[in-house]
Amino acid sequence: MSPTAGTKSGDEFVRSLYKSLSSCAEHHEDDVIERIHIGTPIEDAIVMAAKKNRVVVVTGNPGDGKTHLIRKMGSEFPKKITVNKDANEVDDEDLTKSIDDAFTSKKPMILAINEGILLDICEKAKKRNLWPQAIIDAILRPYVYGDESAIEHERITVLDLNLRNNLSQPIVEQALARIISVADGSAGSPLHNNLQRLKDHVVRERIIRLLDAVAASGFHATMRDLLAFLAYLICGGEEESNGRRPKPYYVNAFNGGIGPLFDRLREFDPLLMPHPFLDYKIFMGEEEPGEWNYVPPDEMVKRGDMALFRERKRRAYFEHKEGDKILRQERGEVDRHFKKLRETDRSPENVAVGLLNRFFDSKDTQNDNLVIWVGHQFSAKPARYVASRQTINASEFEVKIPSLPAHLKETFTDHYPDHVILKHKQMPIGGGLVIDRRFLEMLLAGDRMSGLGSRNPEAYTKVAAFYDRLAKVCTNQQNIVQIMRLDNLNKMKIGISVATREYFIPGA
Amino acid sequence: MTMKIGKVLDEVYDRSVGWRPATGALKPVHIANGLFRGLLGEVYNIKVPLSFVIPWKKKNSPDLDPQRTYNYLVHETSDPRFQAFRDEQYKERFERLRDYARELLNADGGVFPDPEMVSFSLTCRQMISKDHMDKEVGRFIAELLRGEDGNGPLAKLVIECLTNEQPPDPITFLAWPLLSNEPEYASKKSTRCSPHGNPNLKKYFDLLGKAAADLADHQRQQGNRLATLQKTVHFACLSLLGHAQTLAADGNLAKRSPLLLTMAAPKNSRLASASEESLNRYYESFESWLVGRLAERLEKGKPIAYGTDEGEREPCQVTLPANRKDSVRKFLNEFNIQEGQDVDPKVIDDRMSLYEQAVANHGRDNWALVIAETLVQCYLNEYESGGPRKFLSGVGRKAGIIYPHFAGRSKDKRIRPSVSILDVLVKCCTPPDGAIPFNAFLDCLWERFGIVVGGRMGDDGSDHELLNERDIDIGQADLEENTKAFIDHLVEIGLARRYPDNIAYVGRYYA
Repeated sequence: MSPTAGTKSGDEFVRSLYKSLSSCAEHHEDDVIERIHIGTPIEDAIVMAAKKNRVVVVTGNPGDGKTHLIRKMGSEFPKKITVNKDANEVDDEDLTKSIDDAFTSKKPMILAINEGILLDICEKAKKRNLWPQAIIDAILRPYVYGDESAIEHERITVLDLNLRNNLSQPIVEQALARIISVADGSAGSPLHNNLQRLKDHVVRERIIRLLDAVAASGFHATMRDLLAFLAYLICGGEEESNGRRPKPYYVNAFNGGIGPLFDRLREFDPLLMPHPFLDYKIFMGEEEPGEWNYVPPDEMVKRGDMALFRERKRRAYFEHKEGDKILRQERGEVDRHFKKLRETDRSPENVAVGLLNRFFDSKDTQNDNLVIWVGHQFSAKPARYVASRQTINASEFEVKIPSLPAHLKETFTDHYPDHVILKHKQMPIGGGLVIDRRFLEMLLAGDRMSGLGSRNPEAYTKVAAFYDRLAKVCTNQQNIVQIMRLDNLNKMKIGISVATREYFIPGA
Repeated sequence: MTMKIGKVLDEVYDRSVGWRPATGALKPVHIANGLFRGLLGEVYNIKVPLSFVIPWKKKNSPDLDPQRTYNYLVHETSDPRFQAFRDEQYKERFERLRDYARELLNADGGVFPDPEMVSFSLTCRQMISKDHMDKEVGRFIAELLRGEDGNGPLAKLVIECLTNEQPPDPITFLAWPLLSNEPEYASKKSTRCSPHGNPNLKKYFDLLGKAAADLADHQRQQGNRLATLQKTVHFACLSLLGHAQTLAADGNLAKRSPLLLTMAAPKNSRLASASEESLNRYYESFESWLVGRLAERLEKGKPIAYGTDEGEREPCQVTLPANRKDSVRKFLNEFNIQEGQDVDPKVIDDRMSLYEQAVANHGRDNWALVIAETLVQCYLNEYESGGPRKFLSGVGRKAGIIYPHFAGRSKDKRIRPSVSILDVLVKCCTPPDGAIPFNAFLDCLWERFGIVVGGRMGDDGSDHELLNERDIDIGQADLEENTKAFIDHLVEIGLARRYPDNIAYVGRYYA
């Protein structure tokens, strides 16, 4: 029998992690905190900052583990430090005053607070105090781009747990180890089979790879999301009282779980990722001996059974020798383009320019020059015609990949930024076009259509706003205007001499 | 004396409103033309661009104007502008260029063969024409943007955007050879009321002035002049709707009839119906206010219009009829539908029914009010060009404030702004280098534009209460749902950021 966590049995405790409420730190006993605690470099960063008498703000979303972290570290803090484990509950004025006191008297302070509430307080206090703007900037603009550097504020350390990649290898490994150690999993336990499989190093490696791919896709999982997912792999949401054995973990990974991480994982379901040779073998039951890390039970080897194929395909990702080939980090066009945009040595500017050109003109295959199309009208009807007399060479642009500033890099290892920025070289970073996966999706959808009216108006607004800002830095114009009819993409060109006010025919 | 029923509110419009909401055909492009003309005080000869883009003699006629054909423009006049097309092989290209230029310069459908009816989708001052389809709206908004001190920042910015030595954008460039550089005349000072003439509305216009200044701050951060022109016109359309709403409340901002903005509310849903109802209340309150102003004029014996069947400049001095049915019948017979035509007795019967209704509404003791309401109701029913309801609905719809934006025949319309209008609303309520809490944004939307979403729950009243006071039946849960959908939409278009704990910020800096 495994040791119990709090008053619950090990299995019951693991089940409760899925029900997420029980993973709120304030509801846990100290020994439970100890059992599920997952160490990260953040602890060191907090202690170091506190020792330097700084005001340490640990922030993030609910479920990120702020309170848990501070409770766990309680004994490591220097004496005479003000610690507020749940500043969300403190009156705004009182909290502002206590931060202000610590800030001005140079005394150390640690507080855990949800990001939205913190911003709210800072917005209210920024007219009267100096520190709120530093906190706002640290939260809203956490990245540096390219060769930029950022200097940490001299008195304030903001640790935003949104930046912690809770799906990184070290965290997932620790979380798996903790959960397995807490669970009962004896031979008689309904969870036994799943627990045994999760102890296998290949299965664990594949779970780590799967979650890493999810993180790389720009998804931020809270610590609570991760623990709930791992618990669900084992328990599948079955109550202990009904005594039923949960479905196999490889089914639970993609089926039945409720929550944002589960939703994102379904996009990585092996059933959506064809692998012709392996699929054929699995479907026909023609695997060679030794191809599976675990010998498939007899009932699973049945030729041409689609339901069985579905189950075995999911299982193959975790247990087949070639299973790791199923998971591709590029799940489609969006992934492919997002990856290309981050390859700084392979002209990502051209990729971005090509995408923007095709958003207006799906027949346009060139990506060397960005064509600045301009439409103009006062009514709400979508533009039918656009004109251009300006192209900007792709070499004038740069794609900036965000990274964390030096003082945060060691704290938030394995962080995946969720966007890149396309900007003109003469433009400040704030004027650039933020390209994230959602925006890419909208751009690519526009690429497949003709007629601006059928394009996503949200994406059009963002692109048009970028072109508007671009107009501030790029003023070069040609003496030939190009006009395009958007519903059939027909074009015509005409030259104009501004000095003589005459039309001319290009090339005539 | 006889006069057209369509003129009964002319003096109320001119003296108390400042613009004439008396046509359903007004388009944002007309407002643009009037507004820019009002700001610059000049118009240009648009004969050349007009004959280039519109080859026809008349609207909806296939007959070509002989002075607008390829042969005439290129060969007969030997106009140097078009000599590149002299060779017949380029005739087709010339015609194609005209087609494309027409689509760009007439993107809003404001250009007709008659030079008096031309409002280009203008991109520069040289395209400003004397088209007066805007019914004085442009002049009125121009005065509003200039401000009492004449230094309104948005007015200054728009003038900068319209004034260029060289064609700065591809559309102006395309039209450049066709444009005249000599202004024809400076516009005369209008005798109609100015936005700064009504002390009751000072607070409202001050708020609009702040909104205009915020919009100007945002627009100065980017370099597309055309975007600034477009957003200014959208702001003008929003201001127009807000002006009518504030007039109807005699300037008391708390008493305005709120416009319920809906997001993701399908047709016939409770939210959509409530928004439609809020628009109805809005129109009714404005119509009722107009009745009040007409009653005042009738009571004081002031002319209600100028120009009767007897003469164009004749003041129409209407004497209140005696408080008897036969006098009223005779009185109502003096207002015709078409000039010079007698009124059909059946129409008079219908007018008498409206009179009976007005008596029931106000009682015979309020005689001027009874007669004013009767006349206004006759006007609303009979005037073929449309009264304030058609006018405001048309502008709101075509600018992208009222939905559906295009299906004009649809009876059920609600407040659902386009992405472009939302962008203007956000820019008018937030600083360019910052953001404001979502609740502050909602307060600002109500204060500056009379729009509610459902999420305001302040100490001095909530949106829910405000709507219920106007008998608009909608539950708190629906309003909360609407508020969430609204934030989601703002987040999607990069104008807001949402956080847990029910916190959101609006503004580009946060997004």
